Amino acid sequence: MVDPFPLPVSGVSEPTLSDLLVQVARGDENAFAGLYDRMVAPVHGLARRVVRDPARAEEITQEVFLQVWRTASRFQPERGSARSWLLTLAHRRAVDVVRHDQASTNREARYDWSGGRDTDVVDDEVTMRLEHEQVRRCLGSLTELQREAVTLAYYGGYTYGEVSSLLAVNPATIKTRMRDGLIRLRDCLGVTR
Amino acid sequence: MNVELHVMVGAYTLDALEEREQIAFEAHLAGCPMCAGELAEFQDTAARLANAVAVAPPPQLRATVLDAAARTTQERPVVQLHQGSRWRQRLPMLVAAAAVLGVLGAVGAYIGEHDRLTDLREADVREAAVIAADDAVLSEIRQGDTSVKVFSSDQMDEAVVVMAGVPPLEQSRDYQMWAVPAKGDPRSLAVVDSDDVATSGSTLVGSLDNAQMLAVTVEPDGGSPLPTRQPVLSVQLG
Repeated sequence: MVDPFPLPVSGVSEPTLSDLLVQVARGDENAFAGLYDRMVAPVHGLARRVVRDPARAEEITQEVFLQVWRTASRFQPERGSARSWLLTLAHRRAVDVVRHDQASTNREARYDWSGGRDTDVVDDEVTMRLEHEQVRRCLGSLTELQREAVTLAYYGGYTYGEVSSLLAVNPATIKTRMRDGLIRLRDCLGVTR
Repeated sequence: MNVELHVMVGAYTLDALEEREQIAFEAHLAGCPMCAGELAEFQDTAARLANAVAVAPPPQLRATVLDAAARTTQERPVVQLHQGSRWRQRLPMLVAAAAVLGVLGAVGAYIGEHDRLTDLREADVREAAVIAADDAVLSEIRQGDTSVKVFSSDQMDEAVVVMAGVPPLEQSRDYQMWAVPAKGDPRSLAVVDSDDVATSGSTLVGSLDNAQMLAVTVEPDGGSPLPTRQPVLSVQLG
């Protein structure tokens, strides 16, 4: 597997994200700055992808990093990687924001978008924006339904119920496709623990 | 293995579950090492989806975030106490059951099919059904380590009280729960031995009617017709 984030080659090995997070939990501001520098682009990019509004995405980025600063002591290295921990917080926050905003406008509108917002267009946009060749290739290896279920939820912030309405597919099927889509993606990307 | 809950691991990873199912899945996760393993791999997979859309924010955000952090108090680490009182172990199963019942709605069929639920007493199933009811309202109070949660459902005309961290009482005393209306006398809901609270933690208490508050008092063994003391805990019902 190709490491998508090769560390700079130098005599001194850089601390891992997990090391940095442990130091952050002890109040180390330099470690926090290091963590920010290494993780801000995916956090901000993800937030922007989900909420679409650049100003909101910046707010979310700031909130997520402050949450990391406050709650770093909750990170348990044996339960998962530091990168995933942080991006999970970021995704939850972005999804909360987009759902809250949506709820305060007209939640129902989301269910009626089949005419207005073509899911194929969403999918295309996602695919086009993907910078990472391997991720794009692996998303391409999913069935159409798996790919739509995974990307509408992850990049679109939709619940499986909403995905089910958008695609006019039974909710139980969507849940299953989300899981088997992730399995295929995991295997294609060579994610192992 | 609970297949219905397990399949949710994908939607959970993608934050695509409704809140109640999310809680249920987390409860299930606590007792399912296989799910935890799959979840960790899925989260790494999702992280790759995030990496693929990475975009740096404006550079000035860095100083804003670092300054804000320097002025923000950090959470203190949680010290894990290994008391392991049994209600703690039972509650996740109850919540998981509640969600399954809520999600699938097919109570009877489900109990027959899935061994995880056959261990539950009938009262557990009713408690689960109350927690999972569409109109269930949660009222909660927390004082230090002690907490009381009240799930009530008008539809089911029942409520479930979940107490945690309640101190044990001497043999000759019991806890008693009361529905306190805006006007008139408190009505006894249940008398519970403090040992039972420690083992079960959740109590099905029947209808709360229009009670404004649920109060807990310490009463002589067997309970009293009306409270004889000031409540040790009370929860405003929402």
